[in-house]
Amino acid sequence: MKNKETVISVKNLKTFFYSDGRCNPAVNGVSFDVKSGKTLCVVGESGCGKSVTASSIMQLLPNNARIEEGEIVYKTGDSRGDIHIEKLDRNGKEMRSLRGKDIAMIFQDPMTALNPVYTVGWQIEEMIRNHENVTKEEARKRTLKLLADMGIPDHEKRIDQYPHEFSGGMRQRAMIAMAMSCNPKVLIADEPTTALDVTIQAQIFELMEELKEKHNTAILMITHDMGVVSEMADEVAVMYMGNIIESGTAKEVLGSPKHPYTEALLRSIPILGRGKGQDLNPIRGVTPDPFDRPSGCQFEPRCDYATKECSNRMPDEVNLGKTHMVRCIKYQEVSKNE
Amino acid sequence: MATKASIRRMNNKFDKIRQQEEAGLLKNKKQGNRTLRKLLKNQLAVTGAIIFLIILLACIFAPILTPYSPKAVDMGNILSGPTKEHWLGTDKIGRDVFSRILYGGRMSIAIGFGSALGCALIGIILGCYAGYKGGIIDSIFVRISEVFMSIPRLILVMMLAAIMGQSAGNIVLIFVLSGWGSSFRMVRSKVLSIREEEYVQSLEVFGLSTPIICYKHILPNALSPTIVNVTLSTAMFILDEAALSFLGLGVPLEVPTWGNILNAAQDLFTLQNNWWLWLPTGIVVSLFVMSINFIGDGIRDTADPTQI
Amino acid sequence: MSNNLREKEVLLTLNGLATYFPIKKGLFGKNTQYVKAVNNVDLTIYKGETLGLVGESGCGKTTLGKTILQLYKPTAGEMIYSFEDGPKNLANLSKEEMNVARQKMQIVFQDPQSSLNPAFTVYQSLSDPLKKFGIKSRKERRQIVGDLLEAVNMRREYMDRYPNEFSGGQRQRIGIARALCVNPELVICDEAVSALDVSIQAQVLNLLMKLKEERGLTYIFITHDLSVVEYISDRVAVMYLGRVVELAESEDLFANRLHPYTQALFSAIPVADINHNKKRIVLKGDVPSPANPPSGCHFHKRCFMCKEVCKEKEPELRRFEIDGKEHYVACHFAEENIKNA
Repeated sequence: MKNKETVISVKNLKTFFYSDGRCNPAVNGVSFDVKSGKTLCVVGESGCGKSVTASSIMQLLPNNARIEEGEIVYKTGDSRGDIHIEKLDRNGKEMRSLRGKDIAMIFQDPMTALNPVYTVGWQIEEMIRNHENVTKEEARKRTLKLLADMGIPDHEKRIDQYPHEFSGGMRQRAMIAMAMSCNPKVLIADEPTTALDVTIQAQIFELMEELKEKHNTAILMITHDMGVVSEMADEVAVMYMGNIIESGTAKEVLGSPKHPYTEALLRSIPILGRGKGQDLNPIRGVTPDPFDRPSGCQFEPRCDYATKECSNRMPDEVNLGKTHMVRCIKYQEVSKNE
Repeated sequence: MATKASIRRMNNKFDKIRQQEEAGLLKNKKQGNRTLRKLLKNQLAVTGAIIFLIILLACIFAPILTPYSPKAVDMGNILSGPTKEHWLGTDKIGRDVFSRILYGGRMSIAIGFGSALGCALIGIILGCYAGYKGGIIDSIFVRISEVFMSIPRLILVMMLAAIMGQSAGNIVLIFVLSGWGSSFRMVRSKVLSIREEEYVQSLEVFGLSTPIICYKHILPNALSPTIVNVTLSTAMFILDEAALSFLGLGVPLEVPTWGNILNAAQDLFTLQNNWWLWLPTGIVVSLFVMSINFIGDGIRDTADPTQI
Repeated sequence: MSNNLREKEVLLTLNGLATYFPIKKGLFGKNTQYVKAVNNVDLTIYKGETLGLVGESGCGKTTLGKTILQLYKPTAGEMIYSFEDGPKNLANLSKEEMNVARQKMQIVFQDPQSSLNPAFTVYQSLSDPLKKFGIKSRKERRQIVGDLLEAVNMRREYMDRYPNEFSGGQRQRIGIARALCVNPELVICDEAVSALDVSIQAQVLNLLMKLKEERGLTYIFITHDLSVVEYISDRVAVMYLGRVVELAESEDLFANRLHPYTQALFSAIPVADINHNKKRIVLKGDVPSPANPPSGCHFHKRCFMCKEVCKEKEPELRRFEIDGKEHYVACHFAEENIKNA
C-alpha cells in the first residue's frame, strides 16, 4: 500500500498581474493539496487562472506578476523539511534546484520547451548531470532507459536526434522523459495533450497513469477539457475567474456537481454516445472582463440561481463531507436538481 | 537579470496600483489611447520628440530667426569667431554659420525624410504585392532587391554624379535606389505571415481581386514596422548625406546642407583653429539623428504588446 | 430524421477528388515528392444535411474543404455542384460561373483571433464582399450587415466596432455572419467551435443549428471533436491519411463502428461523463506522414486487426446495408466486423 500523503499544499494563494497601470487578480485566494500517487485536475476556461496557479508553484511567473499572499508549502519528506516556495527567490539557487529535481513541469507545446539546437538525448543528460553528481556515461545510460520507459521506439537511434526529427507525440514523450529524469515527486502538466491528436493523447494518458502507479508521483494537471478530467482525475478543482469554486473527488464533482457553474458547464458540452439532438444548455453571457469583475460571487451575472445576496461578497468555502468543497450559498438548491 | 533595487522599485509600483485598485479608483478610469499613453511615458522618446521639434521648427522658421541669407558673402568679415552679430561666427567667405545651419537643415532634413519616404513607398508597393502573390513574381522582386542592395552606394553615387551631375534630387534618387530593398524585405516578410491569416482566406473565398485584398485589407496591418523604419532610415540618410557631401560627392557645394557645411572643415588647420565652423553643426546633426532614433525606438516599444 | 424520409436531393458530388502538394527538393526546385493531402475521395453531399468530416490532424479534412472552395486546385477528380441551370464541375468554371459559385459556398474558420481583420470594423470587413456581389449603396450594405448581426444574436450597433472589442465567441459569430452575407447554400465549418471555451461552444453550436433551420443551409462540418460531430451531424465521414475510411449516418456510425480506425478513434475520446465505461483501444505509433503513406491499407501499421492482405492490397470504400441504412467502409474485414457488431 503506497502512501497518499500531501506533497504540495497551497493555501490562500493570490497571484496578481500588473499591466497598463491596472491590477488583475488572476489567482485570488486558491487552496488545494497535491497528494503523491494521485492526479489533481485543475479545470476551467481560458483566463480563469489555472495556468497562473501552476506557474506560481514553479515560480515561473512573468516579471509583471507577483505572489501577493498565501503560501505554497513543498513537503520534501527528507532533511530539508518543509520548503515555503513563495518565500524563495525566483531565480535563486534553491528554487532552481527544486525545479526539475523535485517538481517538474511539462507544457502544452513540446516544441518550444525543447531546445532545437541540441539533441534530445543531450538535453536529458544535461538535466540529470545538473541535478545529480553522475558521470557522463551513467547519465547517458539513464537517458536511454528513460526513453525506453517512455515507449519511444528505436530509442538508441532516437537519443541522438534533434527535436524537429520527432513527431508531436514523440516530443511530448521526450518532454515527459526529461521531466521524469530526476524522479520528481510532483509532475505539473499544463494542458499536456491539447496540441495532440486524440489517438496520441490516449497514448500519453496511458503513460502518465503508468508513471503515477510506478513512481507514486503526484500529478497536477491543468486542462480545459471536462472529458480529460473524467478520464484522468482522482481529484478535481474547478476554477472560475481566479477562485476554486468547487473541488472534491472526480466522482463528487462530475457526478453530483454542487456549484451552479460546474453544473452548467457539464450541461453545455455534448457527450459522446448521447446522440444527435441531445439537450445542450449553453451558459448565457460571457466571462467578465478581469478588470471589471462582479462585486460578489464571480459567476453571479451568469448564474440561474443568483439572488441579491450573491452580489455582496464571494461566498465562503462550504465543506460537504470529507473532500467535497463548494463556494456557493445556494448549493442546496443545485443539489436538488439531480 | 533583475537586480535587487529594480525588484524593490517594481514592488513599490505594484503596491501602489493594488491600493488604488482595491479602493476602486481604477475601475472607471478612462483608458484613452493606450499607444499614445505608453509613448508619453517613455522619457527617452519624449526627450527625442522635443529636440526633434526644436530643430525642425528652427529650420522651418529660419528667416525669422536669422537676418542673414545663408549664401550672402561678406568678404570684409571672414572667419570671425562667434560675436553678437554672428552668433556662431562666419566661414571662409564671410557667410553666417548659424543661418547656414538652419537653412542647411532644411535641405538635409528634406533629403533624409524624402529618401526614407521614397524607399518606404517603393518597398510597400512591391513588398505587399510580392509577399501576397508569392511564387515566381516574389522571387523576381527579391532578386532585384538583392542586386540593388549589393551595389556599393559610393560607386553608384559617383556614377550618377558623373552622368547626371550633382544635385539634391540625384542624391535622393540614389538613396531611394540603393535603400528600398530593406523596407521591401520588411513589408514582404510581414505580408508573408499575414497572408496565412484566416481573414485573408475568407476574402479569397469571396473572390475579391488581388489589389483590393493586397492593398486595402492586408497593407494596414503590415504598416507599423515600416513606420518605425521610416524614422530610423531618415536618420541614416541624413548621416549619409552629410558623409557624401563632406567628401564632395553629394549636393553641390553652393547649396547649404549640413554635410556641405562640414565639408569646409576638411583641412587640419580649420579643425584646429576654427572650431565654430564644424563643432555646432556636428552637434546639431548628432542631436537630430539621436532624437529621431529615440522616437523610432519609442514607437517600436509601444507597438510591442509584451512590454508593460 | 426527416432527411431519411424525404427524397434526397444531391448538392455536391466529389468523384475521385485528389489534392497533392509538391515538396520542393534540390536547387532548382524539382518536384520529386508529393504530399497527398486528399487522395481519391468520393463523397456525395445532399441538400439540407450536415455532413461531419472527422479525423486527426494531417488526414486532409481541411484541405478537402478548401479544395471545394477553390482555395486549392485539385490535382485530379471532379466536383459536380448542382446550380440552378444544371450540374457543373467546380474545377473548370468560367469567370462568370465562378462568381456565381462563390455566392453559393462559404466558410467559417477555426481561429476567432485571426479570422477578422484587426484594422477594420465589422462593417468595413463585410463591405467589400457585399460590394462585389452587386450591393452598391452604402445604406443598403449597412442594412444588410445590421440584419446579419441580429441574425447571429448580436446588436446592430456592433458593426462599427473593431474586432479587439469582442470576445472569442462574439468574433466567431461575426465570422458566421460574414459567411452568410452572400446567402450561401453550402457552408463549410472548419473546426468552427474548436478554439472556443467550452461554455461558449454550446452557444455557437446552437446558433449554427438555428441558422440552418431558418435558411435551409447545408453544412460540411469539419472537426476532430467527435462529441460535437455526433451532436450536429446527419451523416459522418471518417478520414485517415487523405481517404474516407468510413461513412454512415451519424446514429448508425455511433452504434456500429466497422472500421478499426473508427473504433480506436471513438475509444480514445475522453468523455465528460464519470459513469462512462472507460475502455481505450490505444493505437501503436504515430499517424504516418501523408508524404510517404504505408503500402496497402494506409492504416495497417497501427491496426490491431492487421493481416497479410492489408499490407499489400488497398481496400476500397464498399457499400453495405445495415438495417436498411447505407454504410460505407474501406476495410478488408468489413463483413467480419458487421457480424461482430
